[in-house]
Amino acid sequence: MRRACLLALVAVLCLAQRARDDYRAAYTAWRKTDPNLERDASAGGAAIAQRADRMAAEAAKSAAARKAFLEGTIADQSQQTAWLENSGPGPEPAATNTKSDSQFVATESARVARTIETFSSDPDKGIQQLRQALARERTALEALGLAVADRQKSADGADLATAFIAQSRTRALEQSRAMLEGLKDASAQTAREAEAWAEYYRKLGEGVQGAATPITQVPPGVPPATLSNPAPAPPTVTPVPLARYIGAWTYPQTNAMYHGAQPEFIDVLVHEDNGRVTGTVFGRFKLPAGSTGDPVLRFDFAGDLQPTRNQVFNLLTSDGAKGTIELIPGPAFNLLEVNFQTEPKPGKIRQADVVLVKK
Amino acid sequence: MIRFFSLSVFLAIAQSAHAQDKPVDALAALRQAADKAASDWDALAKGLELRIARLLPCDPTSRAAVEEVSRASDARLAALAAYLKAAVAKAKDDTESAKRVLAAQASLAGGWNTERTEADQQGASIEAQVADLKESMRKRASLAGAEQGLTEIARMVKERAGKATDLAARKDVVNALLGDLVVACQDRQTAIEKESAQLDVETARWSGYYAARLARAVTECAIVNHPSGAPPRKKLP
Repeated sequence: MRRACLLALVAVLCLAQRARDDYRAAYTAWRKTDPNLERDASAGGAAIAQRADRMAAEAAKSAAARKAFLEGTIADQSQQTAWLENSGPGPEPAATNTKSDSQFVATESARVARTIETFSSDPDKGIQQLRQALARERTALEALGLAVADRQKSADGADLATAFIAQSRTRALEQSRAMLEGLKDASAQTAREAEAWAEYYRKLGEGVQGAATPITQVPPGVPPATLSNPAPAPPTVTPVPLARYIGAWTYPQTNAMYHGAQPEFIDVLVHEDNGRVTGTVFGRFKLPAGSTGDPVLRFDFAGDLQPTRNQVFNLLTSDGAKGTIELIPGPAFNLLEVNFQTEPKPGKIRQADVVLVKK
Repeated sequence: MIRFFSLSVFLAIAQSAHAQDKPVDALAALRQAADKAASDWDALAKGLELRIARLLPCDPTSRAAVEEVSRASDARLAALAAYLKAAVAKAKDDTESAKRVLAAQASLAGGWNTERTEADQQGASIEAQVADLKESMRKRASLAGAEQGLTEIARMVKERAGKATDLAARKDVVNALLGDLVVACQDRQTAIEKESAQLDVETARWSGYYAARLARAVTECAIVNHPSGAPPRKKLP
């Protein structure tokens, strides 16, 4: 029987592992189908849209396999939870209570002792025989009393263990239910992610249609900058005036444009001295609800200007992470696109792409 | 093939669960029988001295009354022994079940570590996709909607990793609690086994006591018939 149960358990565990392998295989197949889709999306066209459709189909297969795995795991977890809820040992019944036996032994022992005492000084030979019989009865009651007491000790031990079982079972049940809820939540989340992937590939397919346009267009409502006191621009190696990079820049509170982490504010200061740029970035980003990450980001950057429109410099954050920042002059004079990436640090913002306006 | 296998396992477990219900019912019936037998003996034992006090020492009813209580005692001890034997079997089942649940739960709880690792890997993969898509967006702003969607997916996967981390942290707690449960079931089983063995000893003691009680009744009768304690005289022809 024990061996059969063990085999059943091993079979269930093998089944769970097999289902996990199934969905992993489906996931790997999806990810390997078209790893360059996003990179190639800039080219646009119907071919990219078709590739997005194919990826959507693979994503759906992967989600279905994962859902099947989670449903199987939920069934397994439900069994564990149900056993803890219903099938565990119950309270010890009263049949093992020795109270009546103990009372009987105590009453009879007292009665026998009184009788022996009554006849203690009687010289009659017959009475002496009776007293001896009573003494043997008393000895039997003493031995019986000890045996009853021993059994009661074991019954008490069983009661104690039963109480401990009830405590452990209640607490384990609480954890088991949390695990079960977690699995159900994961299953629901898989469905939500599947919908999100389908929507993503749909949008990607739509996005690659039509003519290409860069992101740094003048946002509606931002007036074009005009110089009230124009002065000759200083000589520079850059193809656009230095003023398009240097100065104090900030994140607009209306009509803001960003990709990746959403800023609450960002202030950027850029200085230039003899063709070398130094600058600082200080910002705070909105984090997802429940996130314990650090929303604040501060870093310095420096480097020589290059004869290119986009300037890329090395950066170093206040936490010691290295990275790069790219300054991209916007289509309007008072707009600067700032795109940075840093080494990954737990709980830290590591990349953002924002369009800033000049202060 | 997998479905057939899964169905077989499910049926085996369901059959085992159904089979487990029967011993519980049998145990309850044995307990009721033991309770009734104990109650019968208790009533007879408590009334014995009163019954005997009204009889002459050599009245055969007196000896029969002691023997009746002795038989009732044997019956209730036999009923209790049968109940305890079944209780030991049930306690063994409980211990084995608790061990199986511990093993299965440890495997299931360990799955949360795998979930977290997978979510982290998926998150990193999606971040790379986001980076690639951003590069594409430089030339094609119409991808902004897709980028927002992908960023939202990244957030969802990160959230999933966080939940898996929380649940993985419960693994040690649930394993410890189920370990305690197994130990307690084992302790309970040992206690009931001991109780059952001690009942055997106690049964012998009860037999000894009732033998002594009956011997007293015989002695009382003998004293009445031969007050001096002298051996009975032979009847004259």
